[in-house]
Amino acid sequence: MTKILAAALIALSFASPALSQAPNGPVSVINPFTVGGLTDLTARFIVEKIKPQFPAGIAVINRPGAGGSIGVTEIVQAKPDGTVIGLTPTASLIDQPQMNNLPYKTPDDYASIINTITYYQFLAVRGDAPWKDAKALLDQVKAEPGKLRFGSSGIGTASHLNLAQLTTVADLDVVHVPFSGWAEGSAALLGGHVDTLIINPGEGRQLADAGRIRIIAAFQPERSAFYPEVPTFKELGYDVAVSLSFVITAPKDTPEGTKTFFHDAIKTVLEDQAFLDFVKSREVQVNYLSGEDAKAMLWKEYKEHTVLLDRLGLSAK
Amino acid sequence: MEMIDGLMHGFGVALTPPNLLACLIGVTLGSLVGVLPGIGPNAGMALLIPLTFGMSAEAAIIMLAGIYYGSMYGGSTTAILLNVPGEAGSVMTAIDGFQMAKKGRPGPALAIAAIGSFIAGTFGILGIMLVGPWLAEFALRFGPPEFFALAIAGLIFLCGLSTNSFRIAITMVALGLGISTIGIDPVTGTQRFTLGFTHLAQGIDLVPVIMGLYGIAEVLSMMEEGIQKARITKVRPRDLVPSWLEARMSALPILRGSVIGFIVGLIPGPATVMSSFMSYRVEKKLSRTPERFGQGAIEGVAGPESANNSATAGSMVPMFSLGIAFSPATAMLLAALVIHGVQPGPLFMVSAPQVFWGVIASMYLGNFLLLLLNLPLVHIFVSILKLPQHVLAALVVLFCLVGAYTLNNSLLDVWIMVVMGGAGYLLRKLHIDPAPLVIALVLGPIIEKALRQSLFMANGDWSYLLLRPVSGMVVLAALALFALNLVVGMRRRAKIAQFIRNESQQQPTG
Repeated sequence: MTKILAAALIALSFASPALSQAPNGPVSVINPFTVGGLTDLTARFIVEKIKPQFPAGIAVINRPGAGGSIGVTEIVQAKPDGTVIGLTPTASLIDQPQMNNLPYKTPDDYASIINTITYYQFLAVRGDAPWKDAKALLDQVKAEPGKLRFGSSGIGTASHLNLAQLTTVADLDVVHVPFSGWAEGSAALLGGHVDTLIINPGEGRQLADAGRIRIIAAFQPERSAFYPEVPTFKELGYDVAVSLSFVITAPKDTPEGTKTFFHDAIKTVLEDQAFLDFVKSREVQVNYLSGEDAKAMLWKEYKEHTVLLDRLGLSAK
Repeated sequence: MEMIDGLMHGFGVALTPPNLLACLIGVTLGSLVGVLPGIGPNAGMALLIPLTFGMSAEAAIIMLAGIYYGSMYGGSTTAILLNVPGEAGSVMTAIDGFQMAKKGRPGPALAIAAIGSFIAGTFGILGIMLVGPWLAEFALRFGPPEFFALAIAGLIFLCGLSTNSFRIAITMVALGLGISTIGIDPVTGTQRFTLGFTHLAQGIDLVPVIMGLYGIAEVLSMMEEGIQKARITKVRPRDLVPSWLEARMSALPILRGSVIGFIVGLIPGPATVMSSFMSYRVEKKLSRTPERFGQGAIEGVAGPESANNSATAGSMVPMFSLGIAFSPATAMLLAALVIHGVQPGPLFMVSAPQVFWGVIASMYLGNFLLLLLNLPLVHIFVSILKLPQHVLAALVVLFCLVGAYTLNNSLLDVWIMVVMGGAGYLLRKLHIDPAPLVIALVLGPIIEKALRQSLFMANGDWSYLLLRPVSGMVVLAALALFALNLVVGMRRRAKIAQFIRNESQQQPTG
């Protein structure tokens, strides 16, 4: 076994050739969201670490707006010479182009270089909520259909897709209240304006520790290392888990050598202890995927989301 | 007692050399990004965030917070001297501040702005310490229906501050609300009114609109008036200091502005902009001589400049006590804390007292440093006015262009600013005040989102908005205010018509 692996590795090292080549000129790393968010910090962390390998300069450029599609459009339409890449969350890559008419449609319209981190979401209720666990909550929803309010971070976001999948699989009738992001949603949850909220990892840590909110289930294939006591929806009999990943994306025809150069540089950051500490502080996980694998992952998610978005009536005409 | 112990401990943390240096760097940079039009605190903080990775948690957040509140000091400088707001929170300061500068009193305007900022900043920190956690809990009772009601009330209240006739004000509000809908639907996430241009989907940002309507339009007017050599040739030292009368007239507006700013800061939305509008409106309403507003009333500088400063403190309250950040600037403070393994929230004071009290103490120091930094600078800033106007105008345009671009790294924002500059110039020619448009642009998205979220919550039942006690009361009060404005406006028009009739009867040739 080890021999085969070793052989494969040697073959690979020949296959991914030594023509790894740095881009000519300064590099813009586009982050399609505003400063201060998780995408921004991840991008800035990575850029800070790989800076020495780019003597011509490399910097994060925020191009926020339109659910990330403005930034991705900018990447897709840039000259494919390696001077423009981006750190792009899955939703901006695969959901936005299905909801709006954009210059990019599918994962074939851009090059995926490497996947950095992946995370899953949780369902939270107020600390003083009467439901001890997810089962009790879902029973209540079934007893009083159309009554309980579920908050998400916006229509078409991963949290909405998670909710839509859950209500379909579990046959639930809930009131969906879309917020724009965690800040708005969590204030509404704490204030009792919604009964539950779908949250990202890390965001609810202190409120959970203080007993103000209770995290009752994970939209994840297996239990989260950060919340080992929280069961997954899969365990409860509902296979619902929409993942969120930050993929490094480049224009479609970027040369192989340049892509390899970026891939290798960023891969070392993913193994760097400081980066691991950083992702741990945000309760997300490094999920290394090569460019090939990242593209396969995007295609798989793309097709799954097509079904979901169609059902929600969100697909662009 | 516990609080005093905490604060003493905090000063111990904040006064260590590295933290003191972080504070000094933060407030200096903050003043700088505040002075430069367009480049606001968000851009400044984003640039420095990678540097904070290697710092201690205290130093990191002390520096970033310094940039945030420091920028509110700087923003008034260009507003007063050039009629170009340095950042969005200083739009109101420009109105009377610039008139004061024109009348040879730029020094007092700058000094009062700095002193007001200092008092309000200190007041805001006291607020965080004393009532922060309690207020944050209280604010949670406000859900989407209440935000909708508040925003509607705010729109009606603030539109009263324009000098326009009622009809023109309504038209400007409608325009502003219309512009605010361009881009992405805040609820469904789909593009609308983009005419097929992907880039328009980012929406029309407030900052380029303000820079165009106020900054570029001012330069265009300057050109039309003809190039004068310099606006002020000689500034006597005693003209730099506020007179006793000016100081006395500013005292109450500063206090009121401090309270208004802190409260508005607790609410989601662009707090620094909203609070300064609010304060200006209140001062004009309370003044016995409202006609002085717009002609260089010191209260119009003192109130808004204080309000935008304490608003930065107010917006830190939900961040510190609940871990909720409503604006990009506070989101960055939150991020800096989390990266260093400190989780703000209900346990913040207990779990990381050295950070919490260190930051609080550093803010006292920072505000003091800012005062020391800004008061002597008044003299230097005022001497900018000695520059020939064509040089000054070119510099303003340059900074506006760069500032508009750096906002989202987007050329679209530059074009929006240019177009708005032309529009602003035209509005001046027509004697139309653009303020209602700006207010509608700020409040439009809040109104829309809150309304639609409320309707989601109630399954489309409109009566829900009126049946919730707080929102119902605010909506009713807003409607009453609207009716009152309408009646007063009609009465005034009737009076003016009567007056004109009388005049023309006396002077038939008129």
